[in-house]
Amino acid sequence: MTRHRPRRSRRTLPLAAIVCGAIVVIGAWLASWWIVPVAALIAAVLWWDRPRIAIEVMWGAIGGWVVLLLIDSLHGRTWALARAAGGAVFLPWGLLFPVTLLFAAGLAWSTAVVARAACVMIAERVQ
Amino acid sequence: MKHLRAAGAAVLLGLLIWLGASRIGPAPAIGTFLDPAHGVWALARNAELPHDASDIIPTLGKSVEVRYDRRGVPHIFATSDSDAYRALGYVVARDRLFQLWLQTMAASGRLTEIAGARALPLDREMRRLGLPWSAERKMAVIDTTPETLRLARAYADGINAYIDHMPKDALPLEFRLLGIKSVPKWDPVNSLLLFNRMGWTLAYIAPELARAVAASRVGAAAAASLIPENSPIQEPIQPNGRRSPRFDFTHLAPPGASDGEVAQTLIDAIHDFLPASATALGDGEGEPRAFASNNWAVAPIRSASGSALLAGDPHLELTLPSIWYEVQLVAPPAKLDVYGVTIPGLPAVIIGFNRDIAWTFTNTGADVLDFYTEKVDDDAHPTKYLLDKNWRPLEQRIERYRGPNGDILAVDTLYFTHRGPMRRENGQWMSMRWTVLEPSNETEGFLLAARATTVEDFQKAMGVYFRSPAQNMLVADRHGTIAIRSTGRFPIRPGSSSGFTIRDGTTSESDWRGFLPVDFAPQAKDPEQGYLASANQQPIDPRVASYWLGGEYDPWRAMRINQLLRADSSMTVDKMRRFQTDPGSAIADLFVPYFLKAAEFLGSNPRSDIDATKLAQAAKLLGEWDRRYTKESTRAVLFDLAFTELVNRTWDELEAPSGGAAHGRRVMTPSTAVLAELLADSTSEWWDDRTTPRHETRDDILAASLVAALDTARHRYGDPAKKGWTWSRVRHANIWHPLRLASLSALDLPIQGGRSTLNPSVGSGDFGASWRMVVEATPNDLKAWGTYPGGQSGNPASSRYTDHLADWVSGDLEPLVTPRWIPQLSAKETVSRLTLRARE
Repeated sequence: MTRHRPRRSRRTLPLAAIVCGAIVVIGAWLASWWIVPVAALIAAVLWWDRPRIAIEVMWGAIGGWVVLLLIDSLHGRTWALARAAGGAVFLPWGLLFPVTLLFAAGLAWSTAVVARAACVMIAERVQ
Repeated sequence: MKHLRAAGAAVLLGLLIWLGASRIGPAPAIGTFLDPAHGVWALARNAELPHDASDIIPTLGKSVEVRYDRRGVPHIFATSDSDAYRALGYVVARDRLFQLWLQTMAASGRLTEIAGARALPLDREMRRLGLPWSAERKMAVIDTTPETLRLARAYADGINAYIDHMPKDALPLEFRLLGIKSVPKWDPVNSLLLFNRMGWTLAYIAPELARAVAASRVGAAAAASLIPENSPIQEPIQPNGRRSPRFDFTHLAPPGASDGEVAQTLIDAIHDFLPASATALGDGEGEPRAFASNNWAVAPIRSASGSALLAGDPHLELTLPSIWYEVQLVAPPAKLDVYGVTIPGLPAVIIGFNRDIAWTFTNTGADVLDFYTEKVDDDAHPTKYLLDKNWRPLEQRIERYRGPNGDILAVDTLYFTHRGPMRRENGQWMSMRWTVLEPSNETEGFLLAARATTVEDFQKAMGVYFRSPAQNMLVADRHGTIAIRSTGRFPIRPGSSSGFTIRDGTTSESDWRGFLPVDFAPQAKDPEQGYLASANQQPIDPRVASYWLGGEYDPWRAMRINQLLRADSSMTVDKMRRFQTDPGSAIADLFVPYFLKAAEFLGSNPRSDIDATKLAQAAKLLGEWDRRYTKESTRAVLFDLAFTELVNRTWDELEAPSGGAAHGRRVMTPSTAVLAELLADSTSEWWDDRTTPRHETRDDILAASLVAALDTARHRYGDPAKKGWTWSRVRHANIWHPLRLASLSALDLPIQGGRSTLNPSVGSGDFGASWRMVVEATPNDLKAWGTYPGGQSGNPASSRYTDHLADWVSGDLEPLVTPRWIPQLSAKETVSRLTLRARE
């Protein structure tokens, strides 16, 4: 039985995700949540030729927000906040985390898909 | 397929951006809300006090140091009183910004700007009662008192400095939920609005309405019996020399024919003037409104330590964050060193102590509100009103109610006579005079009280400046003096001097003749009995008083406090603390024997419609009760239900007539003291159940109530031998956030206390002891202990949001730390430092 070697592309650094996440972490302080589609757009345009760019960008955005949430958690009151704020918007308190990350993920993924589609379209026209 | 995916993603992107940026109904814009950098999550970063912080208040004279102790209490060390009050404004805003803002919006009748048309009735109530109008008039009085104005402005400066410099991330959660991004500046007039709002809470009492409503069902004579001029049980605040309560029970006039049209006209007119919130028509359980309070003081001769002791626990609506904020202000050059609780928005310590005296209040509950029928020049658009055969101009005020988007929802034209607001209800123009609306400057009283060094100083300051809502002000000093006085404006009325009548507004003969001089107010100082106590009972024995204060009085807690204090001549701080949650109930002590005797009587003289077996069981269970509302009690629930049944079955004559919208509901409920009075008359007409052919007596109704209570208790709580009947499972305190969001509230808290206990718990459990304090006034200094239901912070993520709650629930108090200057607050005790400077 032949053992399949993993493809090279799987070993490459998820650069798009890292860049997207970094932009999100740094830019959030200036541009708030709007940085997520901006970061996704930048990463998707830079690496539009990667077939899984939207997923990479999505994970990058999630990672960026997770870092930000970890910063928020440094004082140890995040769970109390999730309980209070989650309940205030009628979410079971544990759901506020996934909803937060899902929002970032949706924003980043959809931005990246649209951006990549635009890039592909432009590239096809240029060719 | 590829295009389809892209199109789907574009739609999703558009949707998420729209949801992220826009509010949908009451839901916040989720992008702004969930953003971990500046959204709601950022509040976790601001939840706890930083170890060190500093800020600028441009108007500060010199730097102010603030040290927060481990209970989250800021100790403000300043070199002038102005700077101390600037810092007070700052720290209050830092911890309670949303509360400051919401209270002001409510008091100024501007809730529609948050909640839209739903809040219009509430806003109309505030404005039509003239609360904003009155606040502006009071501001004019303060403008003539440079001292008050200086400190009120200083306080506003502090709040506004915080608002100006508040990091975006620190915007409180509630603003985010409501989609409000910026907080308006604080104006000193807001403090007066809050004083007026407190007056609305505590002095909005109209016994004339209760009487008129009762008369509409049972006639004027019966109504006068049901709402008597004086409490049938006398245990007055001003000691009357007795060593036990006096029961001034009389025969209640039997229910008669309705007064019909006359009464109904009055009801319609007043009822529209005063919405239901104002009218203490009972809660269906025969319980007085829980805006009650206790205070008592013990002279050195009755204290174990030989020092005067003082205890106070004002009962108000329980909210999270609490109505109170604990603080110490120290400014030695200004001779200011005061500790206590302030109401966010008021530039004063309301209840507290300094190095010499301690003070606390209960509500006097006097009738300080009267109505007048008026004649105007034009019913549709009046410009003048008739007084002493002359037309006098009406003051007019246009009130616009705006929605959240600034759109105008409604416009009212308000009219004011020299007495106060005037309105047309059911074709009749009526005006209202209410002491709460009269020009006054309570703030000055509190500012002077904070510096008072003797009981006399305190009483002088309050006597001059405190007008409303009238309070039973209890004070003790380190010289061992204790004193109490019902302080406020009590109108002297013409004629009968009672406040039960609606007067003719066309003549100045109907106007108040003035106000009771403060020296004549109910009061006592260093009484022979060695203690003083007030708990919203009638302040002065009518056999002693030559005047009428009227209002709502509740004798039960006063009876219990007096019973406890009389029984112990060696009082300690810890005993005082335990009294504050004492489970004993004077109402149970009086009523339980009647229930048991009725069961015994019916046992020997059975009635076909009362199940003898059940009655015997119920009597046995009730007999097992020690009449204490402890958390563990498994029998208190039976008495509580039986009492509610008794109220419902006794006052059936007061149910609204059939056919109307209120059919079956009681139009008013006489006080429990009147029900006790009725117990003494076993064959009164009131006992008869009109729905049965036979003629019931007291014992019939008591027995039937007990059986019905047993049925209800079994149905709701199961077998009496099991845990379902445990009081802590049945009755809870519920402390709601003002937005009524459960996740920001503390609900279902089991507490010790029940019907008319010193720690009362009735109905929905959202009223109770809002601050508990015990002070020992030793000759050298004052030592104090306290707690309140909640915590200092208004941030629900903060550990300081509910950190006092456990002590409050268990009835414990914490020692209050009172450093004279910064070094006296140890590093161990200090959790945070804040330096406020005038400039960088």
